[in-house]
Amino acid sequence: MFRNPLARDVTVVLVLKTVIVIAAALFVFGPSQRPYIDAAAVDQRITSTQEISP
Amino acid sequence: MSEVMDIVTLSRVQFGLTAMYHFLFVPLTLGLALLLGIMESVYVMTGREIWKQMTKFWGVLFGINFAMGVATGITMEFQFGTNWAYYSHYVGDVFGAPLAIEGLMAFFLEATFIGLFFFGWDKLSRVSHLAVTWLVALGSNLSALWILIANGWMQHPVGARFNPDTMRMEVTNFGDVIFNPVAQDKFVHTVSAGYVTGAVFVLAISAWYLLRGRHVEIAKRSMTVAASFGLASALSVVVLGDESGYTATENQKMKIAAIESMWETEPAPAPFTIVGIPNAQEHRTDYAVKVPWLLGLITTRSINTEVPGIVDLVAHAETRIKLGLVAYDGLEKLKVDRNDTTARSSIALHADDLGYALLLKRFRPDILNATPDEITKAAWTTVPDVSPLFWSFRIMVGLGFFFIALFAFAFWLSARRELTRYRWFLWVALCTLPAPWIAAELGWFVAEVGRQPWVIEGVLPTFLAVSSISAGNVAATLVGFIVFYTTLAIVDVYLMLKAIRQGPGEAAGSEPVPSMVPAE
Repeated sequence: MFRNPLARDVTVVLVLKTVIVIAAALFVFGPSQRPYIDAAAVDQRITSTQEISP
Repeated sequence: MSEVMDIVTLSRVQFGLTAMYHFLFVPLTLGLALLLGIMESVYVMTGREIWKQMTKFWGVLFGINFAMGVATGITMEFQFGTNWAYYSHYVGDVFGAPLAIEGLMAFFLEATFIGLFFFGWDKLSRVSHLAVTWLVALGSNLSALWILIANGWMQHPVGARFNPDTMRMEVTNFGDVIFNPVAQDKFVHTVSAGYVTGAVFVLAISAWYLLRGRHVEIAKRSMTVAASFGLASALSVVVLGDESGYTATENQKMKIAAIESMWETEPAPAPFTIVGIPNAQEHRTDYAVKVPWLLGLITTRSINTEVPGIVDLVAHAETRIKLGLVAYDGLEKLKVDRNDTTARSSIALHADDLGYALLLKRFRPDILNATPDEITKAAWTTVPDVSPLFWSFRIMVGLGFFFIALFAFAFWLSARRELTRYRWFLWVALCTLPAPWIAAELGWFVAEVGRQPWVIEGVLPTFLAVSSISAGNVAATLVGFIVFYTTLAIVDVYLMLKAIRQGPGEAAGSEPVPSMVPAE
């Protein structure tokens, strides 16, 4: 498929990287991992008199 | 509070590492893209095949760099949503726009034309292919522009105001965001640094070929292009960096004072400390070697304007914290009665200082009851780490002047057609290869660490911007990034070395030009 071995290597890396990045986006940084922050949450963090909780 | 700080540190380390890793690729893309445009322009104008061969060879290295670097930056955008969710809500309306434009316009322009660059050699006319190459360069520069508009806003947040109803910053004038002087100065300084990186890369690899007596004619021509382009770029970096320092003095006085390790306000015109040992404990710089007037001239463009020292700036921060507490009090009252017009007026009047009051959150949650001692402590948190900034800046500037000397000498040699006369110079050129990356990374270190404790200067402290997620999750993804990016870096270096060893012709997938062709 590739006459140039360099082009083959680069393509393989690109494909692997794309898979890893998409997997990270879905499973590590996906919607279920993202905290939902709205105005009330920011208000709570900024004006709350409680210690900031992790 | 300590665990919160752990998350802050971990999130900062993760973002910092991914950003610094991504920026290993960016400057070379910026620099090589323009060099490709120059080389191919010569090919189109002269019709000499050797220039096409050069464009194709350096294009292969450009392609490897682009392929390895692409998508390494997108993980930073993942982090905004997960690790920096408060940041994303608080400033996302402003910060998100330039990032989106970068992705939709500049990156796709660049990526589309890169495809045409590689696959269009036999399908496009010479002039059309040249246009494609210049559009790749335009795309990469536009990409940098939008990213630096976003970053410039973090350093100097203009064109936006705080809305107490939505609890976030909202755009009031997008033109101000785009034409933010800090962003414009950062853009030209950063892309010039990229051009220097590209030029050093071409100079160093060409020097290696000349040392080994391989691809001599291509290496000589490449060195000549790199020398002239690099000299112009290196001079630009210093001049534009000076301008960047001038605008920072207007907007980020503490950053300048910290870079200078200047604790006390010096009478105008302030001297510039060439070297010294910052002593944060005693608030002084030991063994300082100073050049009279220089700092005053650089930062104020005058001989009669003072440059404020850290101690005075801390006192100013104390005042702003107290004013910010008025706005904070308004926020508290607004929670009780949304129609409290007096509270809204207080917020509107002191919104610019609200961020300073939030610094007190590090010391107590009920900040309206802060003691004078806590206010003083909070004011001192506005001082970034002086010693690393002091040294990073000086190494960066030192390298900048070294690049000028290197390219000036290379230019002189190329003008005399004596590029191969001094083998020691070829070795120096080769050994300089990592230097522009070191300078660029140090430049970002100065810009970002110098902004601390703010994630948005004067608006939002970094420790309030991180998400309330577990430190373990952040640590796990940090390890994942380190493994992934280290592997990618090893592959990148391997592929680059492979292509360089193959040299023009083989790497570019075409017949090499005979090395006996005389230099033009």
